Amino acid sequence: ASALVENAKNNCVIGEQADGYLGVVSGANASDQLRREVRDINQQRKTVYADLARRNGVTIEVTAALTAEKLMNSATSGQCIRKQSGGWVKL
Amino acid sequence: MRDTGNIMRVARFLAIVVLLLAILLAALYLLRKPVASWALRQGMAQAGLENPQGQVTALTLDAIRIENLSAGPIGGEGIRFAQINSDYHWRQLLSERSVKNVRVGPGLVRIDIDQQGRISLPGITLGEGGGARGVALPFETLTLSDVEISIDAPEGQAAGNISAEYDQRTGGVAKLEVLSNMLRFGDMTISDGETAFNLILSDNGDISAKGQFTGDIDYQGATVHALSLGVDGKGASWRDAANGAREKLTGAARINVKAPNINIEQAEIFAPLSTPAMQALLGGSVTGGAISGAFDVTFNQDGIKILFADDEPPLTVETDKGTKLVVSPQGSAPFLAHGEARDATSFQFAISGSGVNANGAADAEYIDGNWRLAAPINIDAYQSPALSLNGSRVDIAARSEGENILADINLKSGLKKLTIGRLTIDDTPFTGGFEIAANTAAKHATIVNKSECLALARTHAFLAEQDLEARLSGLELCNREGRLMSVNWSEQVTSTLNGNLSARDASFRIGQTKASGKPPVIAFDADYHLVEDVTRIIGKISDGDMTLNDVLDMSAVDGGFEFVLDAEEMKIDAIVDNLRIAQHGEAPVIAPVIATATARIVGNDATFDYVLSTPSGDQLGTGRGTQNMQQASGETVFSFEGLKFIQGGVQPNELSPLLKGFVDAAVGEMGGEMVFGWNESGITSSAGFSFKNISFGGPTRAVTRTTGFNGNLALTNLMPVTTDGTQTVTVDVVDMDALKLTDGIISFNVPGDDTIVIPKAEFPWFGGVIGVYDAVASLTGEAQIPLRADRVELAQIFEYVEINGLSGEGTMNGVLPVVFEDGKARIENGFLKSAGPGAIRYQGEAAEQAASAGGNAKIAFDILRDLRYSSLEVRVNGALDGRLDFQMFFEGTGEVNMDNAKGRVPVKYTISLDAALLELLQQANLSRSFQLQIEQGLQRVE
Amino acid sequence: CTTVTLKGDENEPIVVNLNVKIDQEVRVKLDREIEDLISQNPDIF
Repeated sequence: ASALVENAKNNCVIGEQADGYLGVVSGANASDQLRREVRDINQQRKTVYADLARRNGVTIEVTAALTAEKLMNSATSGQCIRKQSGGWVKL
Repeated sequence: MRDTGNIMRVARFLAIVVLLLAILLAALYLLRKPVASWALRQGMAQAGLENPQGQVTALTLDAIRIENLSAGPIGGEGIRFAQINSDYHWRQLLSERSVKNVRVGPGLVRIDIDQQGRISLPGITLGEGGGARGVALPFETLTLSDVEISIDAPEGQAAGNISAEYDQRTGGVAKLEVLSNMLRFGDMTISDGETAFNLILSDNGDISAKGQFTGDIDYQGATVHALSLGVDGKGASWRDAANGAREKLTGAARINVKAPNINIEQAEIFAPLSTPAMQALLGGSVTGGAISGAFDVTFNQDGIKILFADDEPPLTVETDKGTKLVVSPQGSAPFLAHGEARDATSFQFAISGSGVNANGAADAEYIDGNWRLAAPINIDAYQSPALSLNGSRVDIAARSEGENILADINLKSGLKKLTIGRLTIDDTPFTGGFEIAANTAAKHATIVNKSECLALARTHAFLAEQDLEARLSGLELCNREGRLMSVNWSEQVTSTLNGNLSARDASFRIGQTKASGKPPVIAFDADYHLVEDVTRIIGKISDGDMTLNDVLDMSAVDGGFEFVLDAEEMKIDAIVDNLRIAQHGEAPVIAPVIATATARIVGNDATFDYVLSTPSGDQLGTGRGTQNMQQASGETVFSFEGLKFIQGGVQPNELSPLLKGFVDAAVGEMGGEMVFGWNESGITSSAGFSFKNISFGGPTRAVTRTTGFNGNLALTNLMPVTTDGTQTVTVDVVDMDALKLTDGIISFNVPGDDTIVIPKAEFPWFGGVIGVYDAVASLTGEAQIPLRADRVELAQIFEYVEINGLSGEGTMNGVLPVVFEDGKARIENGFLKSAGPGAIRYQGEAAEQAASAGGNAKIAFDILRDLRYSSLEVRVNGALDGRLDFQMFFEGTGEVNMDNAKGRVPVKYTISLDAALLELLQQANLSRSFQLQIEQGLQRVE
Repeated sequence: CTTVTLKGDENEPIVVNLNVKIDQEVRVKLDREIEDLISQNPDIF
């Protein structure tokens, strides 16, 4: 992703969520530009999730959630992730 | 015998001759005076005197007296001497043609001055060069006593007298005095003139001369009142001069000049002093002033030297406006030195006055036709309407070679103000070294920057009438094509400045139209015609990164311009081959574009035409516009036809970053027109778009894709988006994953308050219609849009889901509220209710399996084989991209095969289907895997 | 899974509650595809 997004991820301004999409960490201030980039990435993610879901006869929620698991597992320390239970956790 | 006769004849002849001689001598002796007078007159005539008169009244062997000697034109007198006496020794007279003494006087000498000021003695035309040159004086002593002088000029007359005593051995004394009340010749008029001159030749050969002139002189309108000119000189040796060796004459003289009151008001020759630049130097339009100074002149065979008298105040020139120029010596060098092969001058000067405070020095030399000059000048302050400097230093080193002049100028300029025509440049301190090469024949000069580029800390220029201002800092002005400036004065004065100008930072302003940032590099040729007062600048511009009125960032420019400023107006024509335009600010609405444009500014109004394309070169559209520079208000209309969106090519969310995450991966064609207006209160915008079969991901993440979007859109504002009332478009498919709406007609209205109003949007759905009616939803936060389903056919639903063995019929109505939140869409409390009875029949694998399993499952599926319902309600909940929960409630009758009875029994049937409709639908296409699902479900229960 | 309960006699209608639950045991199969998905779209993951 773009440097802007990577930096925001590393600085715990945004993070991976259990639903497979990027989210703004609660309480962090994200610029309009960052929010647009996140919205754009999430839209593109949904398109690929939908494509994978259709090819495998599962719902988009499923492909999104499975991808989320991998993304959260590979998140580096200092980044933040949001578990199914809703709270943001800083690794 | 005969020869004695001869002798006798010779002797007789000799006696006659002697007798004749004696008579002749006697006659001569008797007639000596008239003969001498006659001889005198002949001699004077030969010497060029006109009708010479004079009688020799005494003539002896050793003395002569001539009385009433005169010569001159008829009716006028040239010279008239009452008495001239001379003693001589006749042998010396004959052999050396010199006499012992000559005593002249009393008498009168008349002198004429012609218009050109040339002096002539009427009646006397002196031989070539006026008298013997280099020949020793023909007398030992000369005395002139009581000789009057009368000077006649074309107008006016002067009278004076001269007396002198000269003895070849012991020297002599001469005294001359002339008085005149008015004498005019040519342009020169001398009035109340008094001249006194004393010459002393002492016996050791020394010469001492003292002279004094006082009077008023008027020359071509310039009048010098009470001029006093004093000469006090010493020389050596009059004997050499007397013996014709004039070149041996050496000497020194102190010259005193005092001209306390000079008036040059009517003098045209001083007109240059009234030019603005000079007026500043002289403290205003100078009408007069005063000069005073004392010089020591020394002359000898190799030349004349003039030095400032060191025991006297320096040469000062003061104007009546208070400006004072003081000229003083530079070291021991003479002020002026004139020699055989070399003329030179060297002095220091200091000038101070209201408009100027400067000092400096000058060294100049003139050797066989060529001159050399060196002049360091400090200008502490100089104010003039056109130019004002402070803290400047100029070092000039110039020389001439034939018709060429080469100069080297080092300049540390505290340029405070420079006015060229109507352009004023101020606050421009700079240091630079320049080489000037001028050709006086071709009347052309070029100025080159020695170090190629001139560094300027800052500059500020403004054009009052146009309210145009430019401020630059960190400038570099470099030579262009090898030179910085050329001046031509063959016909009229034209100067051309050419250079490459770049700066670190700049701000330009015309009226309220402002641009600031890194200016483009300008390669320019600027012509300035002095007489026509026209400035023309032609330039190429490149790079640069400036922000226009905090709205648009303009960079990477590549183009050219022509700037013409004359007395009436300013005109700028610009052609831009490339210009990157981006919206200034953090989150722009419009993405950067590349423009090519032509623009013309006349006075205050600018008009421009442009073509916009994406940074990757896809043309977007063309536009034109106007700008009132003064108020920074204007308008532009941008139109684009057949704009094609393709994957990887032009994309809406690249044209407007605002659409990122809202619209993506668009395909299709769009046209339209956008109008922007701006003034000091803000920006207005409106637009008309036409969509031709456009498909795109979105809008928003909730809708995976919208396909076949067609229609026209009229917006009254782009920021925020506001539609011009209700707009109607058609769309082929709105794919919301579990819910696909097709062939819709959507009417909507975006009032601009972050909401969308949908009066009506309808889609054919399973034989009926599903639609939105009078819905209002937020565009940003959570939005809820109720979808109302009318007369939906169960048969078509079962046909769609294609589950083997599943069929039925019946009509349904209901509402599916779709909630859009955080990019996801879900149905909350959706329901479909049957309108009238219907039936559901299922004889698929699941039924067979249930039958084999027996028990309740068999009965449940038996009933389903042909369930006729009186009422059916389906409740739907869940995420459109995830799991949808279905609950179906039937009331009706179903066939039951019980051990003891077979027949239709009333049934209340509830099916809870917790399955992703999506998967259900998808698996319907993969029926085998569906079966697998059911078995697993059954086993777990038992 | 499917659970079926039967109640009531001749005059009372038979009440059938049919619960169909479809679970997705597809975790294993998709794992590799998810890896590819992430690696093939670096600019969005």
